[in-house]
Amino acid sequence: MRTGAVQALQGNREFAPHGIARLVHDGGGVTQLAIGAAQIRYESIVPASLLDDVLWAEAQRLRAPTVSEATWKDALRMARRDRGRAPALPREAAAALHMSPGLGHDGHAVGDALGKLGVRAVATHLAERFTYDRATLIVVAPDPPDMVLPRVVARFGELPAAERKARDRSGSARADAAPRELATAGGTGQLAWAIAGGVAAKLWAEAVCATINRIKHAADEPPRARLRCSIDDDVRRGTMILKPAGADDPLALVRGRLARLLASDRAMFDAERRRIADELALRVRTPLGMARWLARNQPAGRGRNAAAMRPQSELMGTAGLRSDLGSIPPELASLLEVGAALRVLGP
Amino acid sequence: MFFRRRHLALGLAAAAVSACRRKPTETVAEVWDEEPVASQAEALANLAPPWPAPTRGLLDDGLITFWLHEPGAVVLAVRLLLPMRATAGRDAGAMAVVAEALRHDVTRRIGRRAGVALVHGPDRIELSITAPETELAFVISGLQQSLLPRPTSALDSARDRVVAGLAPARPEEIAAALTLRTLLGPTAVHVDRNRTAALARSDLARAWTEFVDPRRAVLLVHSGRPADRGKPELRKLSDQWRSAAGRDRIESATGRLHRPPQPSGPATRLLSAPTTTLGIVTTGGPGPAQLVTGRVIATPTARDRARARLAQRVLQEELNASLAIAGDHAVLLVRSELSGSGGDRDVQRLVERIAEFAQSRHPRQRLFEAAQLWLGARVVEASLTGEDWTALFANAIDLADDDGAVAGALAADAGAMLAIDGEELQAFTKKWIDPRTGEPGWAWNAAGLTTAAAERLGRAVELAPRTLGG
Repeated sequence: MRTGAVQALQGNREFAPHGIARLVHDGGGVTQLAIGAAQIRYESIVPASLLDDVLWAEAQRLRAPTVSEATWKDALRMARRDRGRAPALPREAAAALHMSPGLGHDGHAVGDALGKLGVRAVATHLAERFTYDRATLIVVAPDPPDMVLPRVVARFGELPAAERKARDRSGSARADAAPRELATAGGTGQLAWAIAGGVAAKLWAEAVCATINRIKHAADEPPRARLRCSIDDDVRRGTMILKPAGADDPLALVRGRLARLLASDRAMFDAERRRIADELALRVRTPLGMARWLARNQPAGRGRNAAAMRPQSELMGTAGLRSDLGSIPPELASLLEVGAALRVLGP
Repeated sequence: MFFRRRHLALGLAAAAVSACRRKPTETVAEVWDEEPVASQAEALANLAPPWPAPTRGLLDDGLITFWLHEPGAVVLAVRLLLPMRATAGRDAGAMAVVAEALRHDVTRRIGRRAGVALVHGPDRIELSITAPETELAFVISGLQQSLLPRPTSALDSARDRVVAGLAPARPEEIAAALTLRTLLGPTAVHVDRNRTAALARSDLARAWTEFVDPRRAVLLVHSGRPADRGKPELRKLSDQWRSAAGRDRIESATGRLHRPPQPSGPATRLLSAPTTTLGIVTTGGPGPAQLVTGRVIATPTARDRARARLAQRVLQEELNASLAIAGDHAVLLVRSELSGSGGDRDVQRLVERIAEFAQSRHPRQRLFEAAQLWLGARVVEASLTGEDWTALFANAIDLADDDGAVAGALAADAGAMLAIDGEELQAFTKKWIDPRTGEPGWAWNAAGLTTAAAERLGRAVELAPRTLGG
């Protein structure tokens, strides 16, 4: 998929290779490609005067992509240069946690098999995967939506009618009485939770993690007990990781601290979730920040439900963070449940 | 322009030949010399933040403020503009130390809840602070504390940090500093490690008093609350931060931030009478030898400023050219690398290329594309850096004739730039950019040359040895 995304930069009947990038750059804009475990984004930020040109370019991007031996080699060369970042969890553990075997491979490795793919195979791959019925267009513009939407429809309106195929690619969490365990190289006893897809779960994970990192040592805990939390962010395959240390019973330490979020340290947790909601307002202030945040939302359904309007509060995901927590939302409940985690042990 | 076009095969013979041995089709650039589409030009000219009329204030302590109100904004942006123009007897190192002391103290006081950055503008520093809108009182209060005279120990520490962070000057920096000194008089823009390390506490304290002065400063605030609701905080700032320099205040922001009238610069041209000598420095830090040439361009009107910017944008497609506009004057610099064996040819070639550019008439399409790139990049950069209106407003002050024109200066600049045609720009470049037959006023310097390379260069042009210190 990653190499395919790069190949899709090689132009089509309307654009020369990297022609869309040139269009954006010549107008003073910036464009980039963001590749995650289950989402690819083509991002462009342009002056408002260039909106119609960019809408037209996006309406052409996925049509009849140019595929030749030369462009495929060029795409492979570009893909090899992108090294990505080191995974926060061992790959095997990430695959098991998200129940997604594809995560077990290094997506940045460009093997010989890819180099041997024929032009026809590449074209078939692109025609199957990079299609408009799987894509979502996000436009953040200074004009109100009722002025922008007709311009979007005018550009994309000529596409043949098709049932929407986009589906929720978020990992699903499951809770048992005790965490699943996996022994693998790189395991140190850390506990990992799959962050459910969507914006609300990501915000809850940030609030939980920030509070865990601030919680003070309790009198009944071993004197050298430590617990650190981090988030390996990904739009669809995000992971919350807790690393216990200095405790004879690490699970008891984790359970105890998670329980304190809704009990003795509730005030701290409330303050952190309010802070996170406030910070989000700053993060989405710029068009690029807003567009990236909206891209975290689930696709707008399949078939006839695809065009359903959704309230802004749902798209932003902050309603729960600012609520009084009368009932625990499911996105938060799964993060507080040790049984939903995967414990990664050494071999 | 970006789209693939089908090429027609001409004649059977051509088709037969290409069937045997395929040659790449020669690309012929299309030249459009027509007016841009009106709607496109209009949309470009309107690229400016939708700011309402700013509220201008002149506080009791002499500080000029502009309050930019954006209803519903969740982010507060505060930008303090302090002119820092070196004068005779005031070392550039002292300015750098004052700027560092201010940045450090503001960061220490409010950095936990706000973003603080120091930005260098033309002849000034800009202290930029961004924070949640709710932090207005906290930010202004912290800023006010930091603007009070610094203890000498704080200035000492700042000097040490500046000196520790100074890398050996690269040839390009040396050549640019020497050229600017020739053009602008004693504006010693180069910060010298030894001179900065030797600055006495009394020098630093005097520099602080001179530069951190409300009678010379301008404060920009971009806030979600109206100006009236920010008055109490500004009043406290005015009560505490007083001028210690005891000089007359300048009544307008443009007057404070625009360059003062220039002393008569060098009445010389490059490789043409009256000719100037080429200043050379045979030492220099790492990197290849560099030549920097430049001149001051008079930009008394908004149209002149737009012409100068457009000329630089087109020129920089071919050469490494930069332009700093600050009101009535702009400084153009062109940088070029000098090869060790053919420096004399490089010098001749550079002057030829600049002159060739200046004498050429550029098609309308090229001008429109250059303007589109410049105007678009200006707003995209502002968006990427947080939709901070104060950054663009500071830029607008440089482009405006007076304070009343600042709010509309970006739009006026865009409109003027898009209206310039090939003949108008050609007349401008012939006068200001041609180093051989245009207005005199050129200077140049080269640094990082070996002795042998300097000797070879001496065959093409008269040399004058220079040092940064003198």
